Amino acid sequence: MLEWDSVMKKHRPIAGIIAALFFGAVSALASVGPKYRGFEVDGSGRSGTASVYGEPALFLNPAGLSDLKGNGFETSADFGVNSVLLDYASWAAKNSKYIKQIDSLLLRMEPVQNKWAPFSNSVVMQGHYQDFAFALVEDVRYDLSLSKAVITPVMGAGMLSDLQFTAGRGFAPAALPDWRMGFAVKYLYRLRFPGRLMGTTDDEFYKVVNKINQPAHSIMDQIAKIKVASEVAQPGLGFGVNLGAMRSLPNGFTAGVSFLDFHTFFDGGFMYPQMNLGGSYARDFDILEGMHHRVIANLDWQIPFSWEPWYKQWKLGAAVEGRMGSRLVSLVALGLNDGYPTFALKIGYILNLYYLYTAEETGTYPGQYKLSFHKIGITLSF
Amino acid sequence: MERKHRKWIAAAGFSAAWMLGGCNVFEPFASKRTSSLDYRGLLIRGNDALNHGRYVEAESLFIRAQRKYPKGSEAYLFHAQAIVAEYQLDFNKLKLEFECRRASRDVAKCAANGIDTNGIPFIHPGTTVDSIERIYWPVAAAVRDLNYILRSSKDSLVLIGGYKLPPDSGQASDGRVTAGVARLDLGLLLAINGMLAPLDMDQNLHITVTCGTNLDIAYADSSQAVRDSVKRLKCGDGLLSEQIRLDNFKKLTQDVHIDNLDSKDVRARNMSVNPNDINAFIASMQIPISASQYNLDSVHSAMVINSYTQGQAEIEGVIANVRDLNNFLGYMRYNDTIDDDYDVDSLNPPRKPTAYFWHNFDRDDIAAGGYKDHGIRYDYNDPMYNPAYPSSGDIGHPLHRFQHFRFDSNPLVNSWVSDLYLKYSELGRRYPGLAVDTSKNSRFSLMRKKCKDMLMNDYPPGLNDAGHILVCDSLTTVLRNDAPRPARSDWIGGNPGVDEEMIDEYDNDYDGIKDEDARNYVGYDDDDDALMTMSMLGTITPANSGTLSMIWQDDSVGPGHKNKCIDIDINIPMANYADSAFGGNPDTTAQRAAQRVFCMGTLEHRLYLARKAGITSLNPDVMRNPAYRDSLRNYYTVAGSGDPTSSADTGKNCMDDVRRHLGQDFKNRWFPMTPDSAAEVNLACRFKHIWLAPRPANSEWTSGVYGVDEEKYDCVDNDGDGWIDEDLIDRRSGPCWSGIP
Repeated sequence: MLEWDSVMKKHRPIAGIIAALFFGAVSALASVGPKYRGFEVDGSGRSGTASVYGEPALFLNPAGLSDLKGNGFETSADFGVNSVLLDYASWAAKNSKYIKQIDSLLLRMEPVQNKWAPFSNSVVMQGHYQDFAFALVEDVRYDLSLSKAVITPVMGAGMLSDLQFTAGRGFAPAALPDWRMGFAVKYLYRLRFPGRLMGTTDDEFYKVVNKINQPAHSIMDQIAKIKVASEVAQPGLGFGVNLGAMRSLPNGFTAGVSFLDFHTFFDGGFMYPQMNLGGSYARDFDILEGMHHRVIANLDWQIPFSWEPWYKQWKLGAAVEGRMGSRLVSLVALGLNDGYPTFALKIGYILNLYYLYTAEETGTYPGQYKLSFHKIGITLSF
Repeated sequence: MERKHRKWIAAAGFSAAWMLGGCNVFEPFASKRTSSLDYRGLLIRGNDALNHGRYVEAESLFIRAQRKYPKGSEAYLFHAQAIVAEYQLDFNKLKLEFECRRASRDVAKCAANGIDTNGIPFIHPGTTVDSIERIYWPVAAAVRDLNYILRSSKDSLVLIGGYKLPPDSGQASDGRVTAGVARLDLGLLLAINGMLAPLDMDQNLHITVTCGTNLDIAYADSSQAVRDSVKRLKCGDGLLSEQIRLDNFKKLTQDVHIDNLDSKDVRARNMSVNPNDINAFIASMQIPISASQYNLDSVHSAMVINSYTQGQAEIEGVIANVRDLNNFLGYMRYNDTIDDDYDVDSLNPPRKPTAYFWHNFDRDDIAAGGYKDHGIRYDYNDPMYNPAYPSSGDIGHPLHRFQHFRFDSNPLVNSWVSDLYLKYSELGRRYPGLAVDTSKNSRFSLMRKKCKDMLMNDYPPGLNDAGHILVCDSLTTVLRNDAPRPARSDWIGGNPGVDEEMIDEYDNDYDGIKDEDARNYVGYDDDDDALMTMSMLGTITPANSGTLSMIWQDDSVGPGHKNKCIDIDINIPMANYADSAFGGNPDTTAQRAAQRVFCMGTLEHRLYLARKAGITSLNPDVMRNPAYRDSLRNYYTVAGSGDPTSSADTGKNCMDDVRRHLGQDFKNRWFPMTPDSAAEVNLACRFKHIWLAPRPANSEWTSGVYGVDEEKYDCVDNDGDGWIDEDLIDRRSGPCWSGIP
């Protein structure tokens, strides 16, 4: 106890500075930080502040880097689809030629009217050497909608593309044997076009319409049109820090705290910082020879310093993972992200396939039903 | 694991589950109880209701969202969507309503959709208050919502026609819905809103049979007297005012062709029988129509810049209709000493314009021909005047223009010129907006069309040859600034083109529009019903015009004659009036019903004469004594153009007056007394209300010219012409207009 007290006294000024910076940042907010957390975290309802491990820890709690050993490298790519996206692609194949005719379009737009078609994909390269890790991630989300203002058709489009390079390190202070800490620095290049409807006196409207009106030769061409928002998006640059700490508790429990985008300067302002508090329980078990299994349960509370009410930011997750040595070869995860279910499955050795299911209900436009996302990806790891 | 640790784990798990449950983690965002939803939750829940056709619920949720976060533009947009969806209004339906009023319409398609091809969109003979309410309410509500989104500027928006939209309070300014989203829809909906707005007399966004009930709430803090006067002002016909206005509006617009606008079928009386209401009526239409044009022009410009050709084509028809209607309405404003219809040569040097002062001296003067042509004779001494074509001397008339059109062969000129009239090119330089408007309903197009129509339809060969037609295509009806005012002219003073029309439903200046930019001034015969004669020519100037005003005093002598009309003989007791009209031993009720029978100009008097002697006196001997004249022709102006003894032509408003303005008590007593009331009415209506006989010695008319400023401010049709308080300058305190806040 005395030891803890002395450590606290030693670091009290630093804690004060951190607190001042943290709350100072809140007063000068500009943008929401990158959403990418990694496949494993997304599958567990975006929880894992106290349990995340390996390179994904760069994005949720860098303290999870501290136990890394040896070296590794992996690359993955995935893309997400859902039924609305496919409906749009199918509809556009038949009807995109009417996109410039108001009355003809109104007669045909019913199947997709007011629905927002999302398309997402991410490409990741990441690796580590001992407890030093890096990641280069491109995470993109496009939205497209054919909607009505009141009686005439308008287009809706949105885009958020984050290209981030992150590097970090975890460590375990000798003076605090149960503690692990970590940090990550990031460089961010963002293209964004906040999702919104556009009408006939908006320049963006015509760019979107002309793009959709272009000929397409396959359904993938039609899907590609959804990326039209990139033609009207605005770029921005930023850099910042993620910080985190974990503390092991008795009986397999762990507590964690992380400060993401703390601070991240972006486009002349700050990003919303995010604080995550989490607890986890982990228990190892072996049922297959040569494999180590672990069951993990997480409960996180997130403070986003944004408009969302505090009580909506609960993340709950559970996962069973199997490893051969330090290599992850299987994962089954379930979770609730703010109450919305998530599910993830991953399997493979060196070459992994994974599937991620998420849901959201955050849209605001008429017709924006509850959306289910299916993300399919592949990972090559060494 | 130790037993006590298991207890801790179990307790922690229970606590976590309890906490999560209590904090709605397991309850999706939009599934939360509606009573505690925040702004975004209300939007999501509202949209869920909208998606599933529960429109009323959606509207309620969006209204709550508006109250929760007034700057939230989405709540206003979605509310407009919900209300329009509830009433099944859509773009194609709206567009078809316009298309069906154009010559290019698909008649079969219009018929299949039950859309009338005459009049203005959504108004047809079968329109009821309920059916029009189902159009007007969603349109008006959507317009209100979209205006909240668009009008976030702190500056006033100046609209075409000079109207200003004041800045709003910046509501719905969060930018989530751009102006570009709302503008096209606002433009289209405003067009409908503007066309129907005059029906919403109490301005509560509804057209109902309970006009004014909203005013009790709006003026709850005012006295009952103020509330009553406001209601009387807005809903002059009581609860059914909007119903009555709709009926009149249908008649007003039934012959209007929005694709081919001219005013030949517009009857201002159907806007209001009180001309003082006309500007308000026009304003209620033109403000939204102007705003519509502003928004649609903005959209169209953006479409042109971005080569959005198909979209352009789809809205161009509507834009053209709206622009035409806006221009047309602008021309109709009256009595403002402003050149509302762009037909004044520029004032050089600049000076304050004055109203065009003119009287129609030769209209009913038998000695002068009694031409009844309603035009403005330029020069009674004109040696080129041809009496065979009485109107050919009128200002603006095609033949008059022809007389003042010649080819100047001077090498420096070498073109057609006019000493009196501006050429189209010259007027175009004065008003560039007119020059660039080449649509078929433009000011110039209507002027040309009117000229050619007159020549082709009203005049024989020789007067409609190429030379005459050339005049139509070359000369406007607008007098040059340096055109001299002849000594003997209907034009007495002022600037030609400023409040130049009478409210008489005639195109006094032959420019293709009637009753536009009309007037109402002291000393004027503003409604073409004054007994002007050639003997007055040269004696009347703007300065002494006030002396023309007709002086009469209701109930000047005998009791019972305070009947708000001009009694012919105040020495005759009212009981005798009633006895003459109804016979028997008339009680006070009958006397009241008969009180207008012996008033000058009243329809009751004409009906009486029609029954008594008809057109020509029954007793020529009696006719020698003016006191016993008993026929219509002895007292009144012939309404039609033919001989009233053989022609059944009636005054166009008279039949309407019988239906609408005759007292019900009079009708109940009068018409059962004859087996053929229709014939009697037809006989009476072959004559207008204009009194031609000498001033009766014992009448309430004591001096002045009959028909000049003849009304009193009493909300009553004193002279029997179907209008109330016309030929008066403006509203003022009195029995009718008192208490106007």
